[in-house]
Amino acid sequence: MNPSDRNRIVIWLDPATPQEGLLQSLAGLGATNEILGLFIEDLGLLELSRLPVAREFTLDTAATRAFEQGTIERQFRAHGQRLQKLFEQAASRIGSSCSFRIIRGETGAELVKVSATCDMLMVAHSRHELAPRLTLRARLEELLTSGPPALMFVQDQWHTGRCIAVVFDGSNASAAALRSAASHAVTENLLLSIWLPGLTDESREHLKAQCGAIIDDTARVEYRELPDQHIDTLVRAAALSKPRVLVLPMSEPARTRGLVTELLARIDCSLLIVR
Amino acid sequence: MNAKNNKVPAMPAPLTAEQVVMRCTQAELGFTTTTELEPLPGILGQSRALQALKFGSRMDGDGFNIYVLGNPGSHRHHLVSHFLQEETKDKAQPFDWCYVNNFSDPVKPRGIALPPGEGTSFKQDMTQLLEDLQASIPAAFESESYRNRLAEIEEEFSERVRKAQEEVQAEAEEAGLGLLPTPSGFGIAPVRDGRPLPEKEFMELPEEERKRAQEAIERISERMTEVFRNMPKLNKERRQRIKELDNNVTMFAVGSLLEDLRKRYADNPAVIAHLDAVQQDVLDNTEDFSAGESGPQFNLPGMQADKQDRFRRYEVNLLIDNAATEGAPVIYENHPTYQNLIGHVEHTSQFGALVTDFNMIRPGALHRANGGYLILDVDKVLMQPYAWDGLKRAIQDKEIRIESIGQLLSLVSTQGLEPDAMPLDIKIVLIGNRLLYYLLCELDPDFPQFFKVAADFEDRIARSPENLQLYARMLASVAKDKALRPFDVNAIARVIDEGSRWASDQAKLTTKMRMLTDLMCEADFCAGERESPTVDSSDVEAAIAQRISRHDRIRSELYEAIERNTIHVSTEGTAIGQVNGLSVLQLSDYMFGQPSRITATARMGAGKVIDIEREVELGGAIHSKGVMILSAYLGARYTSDVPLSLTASLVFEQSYGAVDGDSASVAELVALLSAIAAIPVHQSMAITGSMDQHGRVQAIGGVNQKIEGFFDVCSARGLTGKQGVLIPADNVQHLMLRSDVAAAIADGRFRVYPLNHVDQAIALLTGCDVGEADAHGRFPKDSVNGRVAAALQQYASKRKDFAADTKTNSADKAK
Repeated sequence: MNPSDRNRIVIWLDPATPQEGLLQSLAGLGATNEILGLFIEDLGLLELSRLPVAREFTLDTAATRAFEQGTIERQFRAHGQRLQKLFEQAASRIGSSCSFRIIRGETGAELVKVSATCDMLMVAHSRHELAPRLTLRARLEELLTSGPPALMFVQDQWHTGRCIAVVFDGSNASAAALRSAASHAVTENLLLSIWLPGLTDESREHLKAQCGAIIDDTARVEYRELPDQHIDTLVRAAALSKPRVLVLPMSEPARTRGLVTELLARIDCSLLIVR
Repeated sequence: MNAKNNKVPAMPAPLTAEQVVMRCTQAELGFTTTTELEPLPGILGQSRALQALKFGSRMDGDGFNIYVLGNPGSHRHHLVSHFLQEETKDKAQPFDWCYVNNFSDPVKPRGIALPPGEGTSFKQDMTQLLEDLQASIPAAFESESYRNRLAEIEEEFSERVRKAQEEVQAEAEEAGLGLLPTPSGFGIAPVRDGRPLPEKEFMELPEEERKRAQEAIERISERMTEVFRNMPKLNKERRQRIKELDNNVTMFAVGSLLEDLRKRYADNPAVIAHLDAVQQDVLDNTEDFSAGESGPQFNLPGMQADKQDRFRRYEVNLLIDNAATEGAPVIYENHPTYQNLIGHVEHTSQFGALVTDFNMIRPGALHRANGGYLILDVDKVLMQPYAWDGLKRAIQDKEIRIESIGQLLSLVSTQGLEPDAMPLDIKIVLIGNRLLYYLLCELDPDFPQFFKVAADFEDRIARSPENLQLYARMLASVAKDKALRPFDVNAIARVIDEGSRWASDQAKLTTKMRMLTDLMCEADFCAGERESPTVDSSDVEAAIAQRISRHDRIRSELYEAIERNTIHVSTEGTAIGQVNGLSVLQLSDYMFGQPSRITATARMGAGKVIDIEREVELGGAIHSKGVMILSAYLGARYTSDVPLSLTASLVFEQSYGAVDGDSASVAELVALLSAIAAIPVHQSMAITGSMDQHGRVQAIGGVNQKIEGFFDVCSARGLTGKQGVLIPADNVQHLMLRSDVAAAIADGRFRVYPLNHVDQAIALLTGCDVGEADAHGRFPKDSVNGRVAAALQQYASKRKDFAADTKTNSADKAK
């Protein structure tokens, strides 16, 4: 992502997750972007509500209640209005072109549609919910298959990091991830921490040279060596570097799914997956 | 008439120049300048006070505190302080006292006593401990070992949560159900290919399947309820496990540090208890140490909370440090407010509110002097609100309890600190005047109980040859202490003479060191003006003259008024019923004599002598007493066999202020006798002296100033050799007249007569024979007494006739 270009960013405001962190993160985006706030009234939930046996388990009371169509309609209206208001408040503080849209449809299909026309899809994630894994599990498939060029999970503590970290292994996906990370680092005036997984000095030097060719001189850069790309290694590196955003290249879907699930469960920073 | 009144005493001879002043001579002193004298820093001529101070300072027991009585300017502070410094030199140093945080109740800071000097090391040790904790605890928490163990715990609990949730998820999937996120949680419903089963398809399912689905939904709901309701408990368990880990890690980091301190202070249970409390607090608040510099910082205006503030609770407030104290402390508190005595707690502003802690406890004079002596001016203590009560409470309770006045009076509702009271072992030395001492004894029942030792300082000491030597050494000490030029022997002699004059006694020397010191400093200034390396008697004379000149404006105006006859005082000729009396005016430290015309009139009456001053309420009680005494004398001596049928009036002419004292009694008697017998009185003489009912003349005060006052008036008009002053013979010993007056007496230009009896005054002032009564009490006809007696007899017979006529007239009228 190049800050000088006009990028189209879609913010998916999912009522199942706290959105405050995501909306605050708008301030860190470049002023030249075009931002769309999207609220999807999920047809799947409407269908669910029509089933006479359907129940809703509420997290705040750990109890079930009847799940009726009237209930979900009211929830859609209430959350749509609330999120639109929050989005507009956040948008008013930045110079970008912002719009908000409420659409009704199947969440997966709608995400595929908007992903085809955007440069980045952003979604909120909170480790501090009661059931983040259950929520993520339900959403992750839709998000990964919707296929945006960049997919960002914004943690509710996004603002406390000191750098933008990126894993660079020399692959095409990691080169795209590095470009995106460098762009973020320049925009947010943060250190760019490039994590180089490699076993030998030679291979690491080679990767550094590749990085130098990809990023321009405006970014402040540090290199950190990673013994491997194992999940524990990444978690430890994140604990030491304290990044605001960790940028990862998209590998094969199954590995990406597992990586994202584990990382979001164990690190505080936001996660940006770049194809 | 009593026989004892019949004998007229012999006429007194005028005093010689040697009798009117006592001059100190070079031979008596025996040195050249004060540089030769060994300074005398101690107390001179105060053996009574010294004995009392010794007793009071050494006497153990409740209430044996000391009250030093004496007049201001007698160097009581210096003398008491010097004495106590010497007395306490070999006494043991008192303990150090510090306040530390009370971790279980921060409002009540704990007090810890430590041997002298250990307070500082304890404070330093705690500071060092804090630094060590700040380094070792974060290091322990940043270690790989800790991170791994923390990750293990986190992983264990994440695993349990994940497992439970995945089990539910799996059960749901097995039952053909899906968990779909909703804004409030999860929707649970039958699904096919990950999507909810459409209503139509669901309704087409056999009844049994629909029932099974419903049962499955209920079962999954119950399972979810079970899992999620267990999560707070799991979280609590997780936090406890992490806390245990943190405690173990912290203990490992701090245990050895604290153990070292425990060994060092093993014999002080209070310190050990504090170290235990510190350890527990560190364990309870490890996050304070591990937060480090990168933790959130909120530096808003008016907010001073920073990293160091988090650790203030581990600091030591060393209130009293006796490391450098030699012996027991001797403290003088010049501004004994309640707070300055008892101590106080300061506050600081945070977020607009006033906050405080044990570090802001400040000591009072009682803390600083604990184990030793506290010197206070009683008048200052009494003038400060609540200071006296606070002092007495501390003495009674034998402890210093710091309470603000607001707390004391329940004026402040916000919570303040209630520090542990400090045990009090102290001697209070109050310095004040005698009036306050006796008032306190009378009006404050606690005072005699708390201040049992009175050290009464002499205002004057005997002018013995031995004391003259010591006095000279004491003056030499003043010269040395004040870095004055050396005083030669004549200068010191002149200062000593002035000391006697201030003592108003030829045989005494004043102990008013402030006045003596001032005089010497002023003499030194005069010597400096004439660039002399030493101070001689002319400098002392000049200093005295300049001092008088500075205070002399009112006296000059008064004498000018006499000179210009605005105020009538005759110094020559004679007058009937008029005598020159003498009074004294005192303005600050300056006294001067004021001649006054005392006149009397007499006529037939009911035996009453009217004191006009008293009638207009300008005369004091003592003056009235004097008038009554002379009235009684008159009746007893001259009209013992007939009623005193006289109405006389007496007045101080041109006196517009209050008059008191009985020193004009003799003058008033002479004026009255002159008026009764119509005998002129010499105006070239003035007279002072009180008298008793038998006519004996008694001593009065201010004799020097009175004589000098009349001398100055006469001198301004020209001394004739006939002028002089009549004084009580008992006052001759008090004469320390100015050298010009003494010179005039030596030349015969002025005279001073000593009186023992009023008859002597009558003879000297009238120049007539007084008249000695015969065996029947009858005076010679031409004598003064004879004429007075005759006049009174005449008044009595006239009164008798007048009374008979009045009676006859009344009877006629009645008929």
